[in-house]
Amino acid sequence: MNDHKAIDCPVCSGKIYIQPNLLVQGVSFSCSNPDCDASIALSNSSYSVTNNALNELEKLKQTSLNLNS
Amino acid sequence: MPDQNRALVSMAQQFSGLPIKSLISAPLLAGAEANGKMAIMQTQFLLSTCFNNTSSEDTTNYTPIMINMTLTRSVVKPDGSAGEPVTTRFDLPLLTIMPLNSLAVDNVDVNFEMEVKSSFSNDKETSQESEKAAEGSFSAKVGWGCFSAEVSGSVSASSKSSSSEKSHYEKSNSAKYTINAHAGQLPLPEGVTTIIQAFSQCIAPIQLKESSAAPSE
Repeated sequence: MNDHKAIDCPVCSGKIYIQPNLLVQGVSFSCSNPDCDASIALSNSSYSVTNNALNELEKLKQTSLNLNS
Repeated sequence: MPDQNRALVSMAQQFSGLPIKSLISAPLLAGAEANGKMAIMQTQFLLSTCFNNTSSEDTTNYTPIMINMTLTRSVVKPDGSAGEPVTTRFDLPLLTIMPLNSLAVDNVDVNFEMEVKSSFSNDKETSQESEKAAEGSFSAKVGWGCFSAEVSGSVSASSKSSSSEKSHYEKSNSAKYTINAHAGQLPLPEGVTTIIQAFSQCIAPIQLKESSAAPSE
């Protein structure tokens, strides 16, 4: 399952490829533009809401798989 | 006596009673139904997890939940040495980082195998064995003096016969019905992709003019 997401870099509008499950673990992700040195990370204040949303998404996927089987 | 006219199983008759339409359409309908349920579940997830809703009398407004991100950039001093990295905070809609993909049943295979066997054999075996043996001996003795006479004789006979008949009739049906359904990820609908793109593009920093505090992009 491809959990990569791409968001636009606020600096150069290049692509920053993030993995949400790593994002909530504190990992920062750098812009794919080699001329841009920007990197983004999740603020501590948003950890809880993001982690909860990812857990809910995982539950949804499991439910969908059970629905299919 | 076996029924010689016992006809072999009519293949056409065997297959004509099959609910072929149901066999094929039922799994496809089930797949479509599962897709519908999954789509509803994902929509509910999006609205409940990634949006705050405010309801008025007859309208419900959904506002995206924002998460706070830190943007770190390196700084190079005029003399070429590295300075302290600059950290900026910006808000990002939660929706844009969720690894959403449309989960759906993307493949349904229906395999139906049916085998009808019919065979009839009739073995008839008749054997007849006859054995006859006759044995006879005869002796006669006649005498005139004191009138003696002697007669002896013997006869033997045997007969054997056997008959066998075998009849074999076999009929068997076998059926195998296999359904394989696979759920995979489909690309997001265009509408959802557009919304996410619009949200993503809103994270560009807004530069404030010096003369007025009004933001301009």
